[in-house]
Amino acid sequence: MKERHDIMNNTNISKEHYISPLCDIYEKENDYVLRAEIPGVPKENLEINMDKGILEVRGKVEDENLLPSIRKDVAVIYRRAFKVSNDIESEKISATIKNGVLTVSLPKSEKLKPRKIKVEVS
Amino acid sequence: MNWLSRRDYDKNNDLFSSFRKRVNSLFDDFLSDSPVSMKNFDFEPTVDIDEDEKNIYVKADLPGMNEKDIDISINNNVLTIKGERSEEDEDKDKNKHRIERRYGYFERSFSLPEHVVTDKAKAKYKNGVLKLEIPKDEKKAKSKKISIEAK
Repeated sequence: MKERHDIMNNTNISKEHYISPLCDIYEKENDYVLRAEIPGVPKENLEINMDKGILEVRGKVEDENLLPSIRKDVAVIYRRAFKVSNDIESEKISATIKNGVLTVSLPKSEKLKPRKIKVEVS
Repeated sequence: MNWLSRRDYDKNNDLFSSFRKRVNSLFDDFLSDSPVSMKNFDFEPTVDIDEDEKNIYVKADLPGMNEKDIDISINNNVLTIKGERSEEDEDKDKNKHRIERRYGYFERSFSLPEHVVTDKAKAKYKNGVLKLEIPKDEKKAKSKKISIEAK
């Protein structure tokens, strides 16, 4: 945790530039899926926090993905927060990253999942 | 050196850009061989361009693509990056709550300076970023000194 904190607060960097990533949100039977565009962010620069019902995604663009003339002075950070409803099992949230797209899966809690109700013959 | 692509020109002016699109569509039919194609496209990826003594660097944000779906060409010193991005198959019939990302055909063109070695251009796609490195021809790039003959 401390290491990540250091990445985000590199003292050599004079300017932090924040970008709100473009996101798609889908609903599936058992979960919600969030896909966010964070080009240039490697897995190790990514931080996903869930606190008090707020999901925050934060990822620093790798220096080599910035143009040579600006990479010394600027840190580019993708950052966005989402309010998550109570019907999400926050302990079971999982995330993957592929080709600059972050996918977060937010499973619905058991009571919300569709289920069949058996009719018993009396 | 002129980095302004024809498409970037008056990009911030919606009135003119929609007018330009209509004019472009008129020319589409008989200008199909033009190095800067004027096809309709669904989105324009953001591109940064930079240079140092040795190279010209082009960086395009293209998250969520496969290498094989990106097409890069240099024709008459015009660099063209184009391709198509489609939604993940598993997303297609889902209940959509919010769609901000752009899908479909994209294309961007830039005129390069004369003194680049296009044969030695290199391209890399990693973490959703396309990076191009186009070396400069140092001999050609050197400025010429012209002496004045005294009479």
